[in-house]
Amino acid sequence: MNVIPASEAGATAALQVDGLRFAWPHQAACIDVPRLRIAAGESVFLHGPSGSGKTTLLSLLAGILVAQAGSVAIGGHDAATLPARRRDGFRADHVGIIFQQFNLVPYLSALDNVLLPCHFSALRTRRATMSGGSLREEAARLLGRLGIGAPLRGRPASALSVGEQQRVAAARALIGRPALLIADEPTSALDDDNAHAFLDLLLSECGAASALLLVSHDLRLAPRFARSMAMADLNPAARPEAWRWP
Amino acid sequence: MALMLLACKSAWSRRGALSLAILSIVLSVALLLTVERVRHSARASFAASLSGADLVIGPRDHPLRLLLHAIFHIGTPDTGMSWDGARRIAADPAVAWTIPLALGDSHRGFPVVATNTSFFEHYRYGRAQPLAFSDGSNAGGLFRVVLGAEVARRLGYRSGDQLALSHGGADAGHHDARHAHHHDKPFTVSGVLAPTGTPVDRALYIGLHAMQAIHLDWHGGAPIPGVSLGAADLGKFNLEPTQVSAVVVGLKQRAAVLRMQRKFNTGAGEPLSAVIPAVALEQLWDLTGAAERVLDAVAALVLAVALCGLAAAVLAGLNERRRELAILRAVGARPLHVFLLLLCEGAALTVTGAAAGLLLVQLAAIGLAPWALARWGVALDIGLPSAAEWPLLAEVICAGLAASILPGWRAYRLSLADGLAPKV
Repeated sequence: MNVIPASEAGATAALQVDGLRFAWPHQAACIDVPRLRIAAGESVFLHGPSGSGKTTLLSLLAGILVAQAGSVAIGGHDAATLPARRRDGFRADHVGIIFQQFNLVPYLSALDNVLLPCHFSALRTRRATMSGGSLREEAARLLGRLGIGAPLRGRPASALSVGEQQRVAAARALIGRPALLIADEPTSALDDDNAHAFLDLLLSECGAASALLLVSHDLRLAPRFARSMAMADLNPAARPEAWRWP
Repeated sequence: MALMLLACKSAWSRRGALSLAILSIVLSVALLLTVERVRHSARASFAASLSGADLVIGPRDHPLRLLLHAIFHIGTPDTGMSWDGARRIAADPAVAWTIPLALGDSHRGFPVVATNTSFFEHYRYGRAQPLAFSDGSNAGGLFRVVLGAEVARRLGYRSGDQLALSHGGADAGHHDARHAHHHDKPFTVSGVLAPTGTPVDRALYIGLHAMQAIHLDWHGGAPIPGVSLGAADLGKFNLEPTQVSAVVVGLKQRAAVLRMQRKFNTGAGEPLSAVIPAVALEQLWDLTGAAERVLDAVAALVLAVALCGLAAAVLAGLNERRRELAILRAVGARPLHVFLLLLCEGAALTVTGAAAGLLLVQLAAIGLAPWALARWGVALDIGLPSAAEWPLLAEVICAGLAASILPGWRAYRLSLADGLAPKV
């Protein structure tokens, strides 16, 4: 378990990264993040052009990849110390993920897509049930808040527009209130109007319960967030000589 | 459970690509079940031909040969047993009833069986059902004949019709000029039996006395030249038969069957063979077992090919599903879940195929049952799958699971390698 310094432990951080280092086999280090802290409920914009290691960083944060050094703690729990099979359950419990596009399982309805994380997380099932009365009601409520009306909920995901799909993906990431939402370029497949509308919804729905880490190359989105940082500052590992795969 | 539902929905979304693979499973399961069912039906039909009989006793012979000849009218015997011997058996205190059977004549390819009224009284087939007449009865003069259902249907006879018997067994050939006939003593059809699905349907039944009567003026298998007895003169003769082919025996107590078999087998005087029908039939199934195993093996191979086709179809579709697998990983599925998802899919597809195959066989059985009964005398099972079929279906599903391990393993590897970012 990673011990959080007392000075910062006023509230448990949604995300606490310390000395995280990762390299693909036989390549120079591509991730070297000495420190990253996101408070509970905080919204953070991370700016990074493509190729700056965004996807690798997000995979590390989500526990899909395991760093060679350092720790990633979500909601106070260090995922890296868990065995591989528990890390997946940990992700299911504490992290919601929104991709750039193709977020949904095409053959499931919008509603069933939203319910997916609950199949893998008892914690989120419990929270969603408590909040909505029943799982399906909570999913329907979230979809409603994100502007997916009742007629769309039963439709297969493949029949939805890209904007609708992204909103369903947001509802899925939000159900059961995970501590951290990770969004990887969630607006880049949308036109400007849709992108801003989507961001409004996402930010307001995350509210105080879930912290949001949104990664994008589009700097225009940055002012909407409580905090903004650049990949280059966060991850000085671009220096190839700094560290290599052992 | 959720994985199973997910797997079913996923498979349904790819139903076009999977339909041919499933169809091949349906057909191979149908083949497997058909082999099993025909075997079972054939055995059941044979067993049904002699329900309620405890022993079949005839001249000393191989038990199977005796049974095949006496009951199924297959093959020709070398000798018969004496009528006195038959009467001694009937008089035994442990014996409840006997049916004497004498074969040797035929009519247009169908065997003629000479017997007495105890045949109609005691013969049981199927589930201990007695014989019934669909037309007429066993009442009439000496030269009356009762027809099996198929004989009447194929030859177009009804009660009241007249026919002439031929000397020589059904195997000896059909109605031709060189065949000796009993034209001088025509028989009148007194009745037609209802269908039984047993060899009874394919035989004609006359009285033992009638058989004796038509052979009075014969010697050594041919008419005695210059001697011809009119039907009216027969009353003067003793029409007690001298020989019969076999005697079907019902015991008062079934438990005594082994003791009685030993008694008749080893009794003094004429050498006899006493056969327990079920035991002799087991010997028959041992003989045919090798051929059945070949059929089983072919059916199993066909199933294996079908399952390989299924695995190939699922594997081929896997690359297009990498995105789907990455999404599942993102919402918290473990690689093991992905593996299980593919296994569930294989199970769902195989169960679907097996169920459809079962349904197909069931419908075919219902559709073909009357025809199979009329054509081959095989009563097809129409009821629920038999005790032997459930394990067979379970094996099919296990094989389907085994065939899904390869796609499951591949998906497992893919989801480990791809993580959240499938390289498509």
